[in-house]
Amino acid sequence: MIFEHDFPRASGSVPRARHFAEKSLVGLPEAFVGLVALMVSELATNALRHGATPFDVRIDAADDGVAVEVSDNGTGGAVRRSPVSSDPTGRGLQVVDALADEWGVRPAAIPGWRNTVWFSLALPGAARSG
Amino acid sequence: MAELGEGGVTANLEMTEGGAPCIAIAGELDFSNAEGVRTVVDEALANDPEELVFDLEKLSFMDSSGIAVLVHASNHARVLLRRPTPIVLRVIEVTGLTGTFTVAE
Repeated sequence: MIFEHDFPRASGSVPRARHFAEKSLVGLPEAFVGLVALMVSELATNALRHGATPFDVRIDAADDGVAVEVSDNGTGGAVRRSPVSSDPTGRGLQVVDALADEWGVRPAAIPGWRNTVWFSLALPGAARSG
Repeated sequence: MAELGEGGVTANLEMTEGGAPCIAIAGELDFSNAEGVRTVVDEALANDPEELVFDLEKLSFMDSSGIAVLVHASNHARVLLRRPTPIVLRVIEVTGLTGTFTVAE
């Protein structure tokens, strides 16, 4: 099942996007939903911090796991930094990199159009398809 | 006491019996309210304490925006995290900051 939602360029869109993910995945194991919601929160934050545009979240929930896309129409794209421990920021994609099974960036085909960051996470115990 | 932002977080600064400032954060800490919590942290750091305690028992969610606030605090004082919830511990662990904070029950 696919769930999609647009969010405005406002900091309140971060908790709303996270809660949207939680509601979309209701019934799945709490720890799994928590990880997905955490990663959605990071990508929504990145979209607002770097894209500074509205963004949308697309959640493809299958029997064996989820694939999530967060798209903005900013010009930045995702850059994973390696902050030292005293750096306050730059850890959003570090979280996604650590928790997702796979993740990546699809830069806009046309400059200034949609940048998408996606990740996938298999349900614990699910047979992996590929 | 500060009521902060859309996701719903409160940050309550008190002095502990030992004299270290303690900030009890409850709710969900993210980009929408981290700035407000940081203001409370700066208030706690104003007297240049050696240690700053965070009581996280009621913090049900935190992402890297919350990590940024804790790292900011740890750049100015020793940071003790009391009773962090599993998701908060997970975020600290995956950002490689386990050694940056002291965690206590």
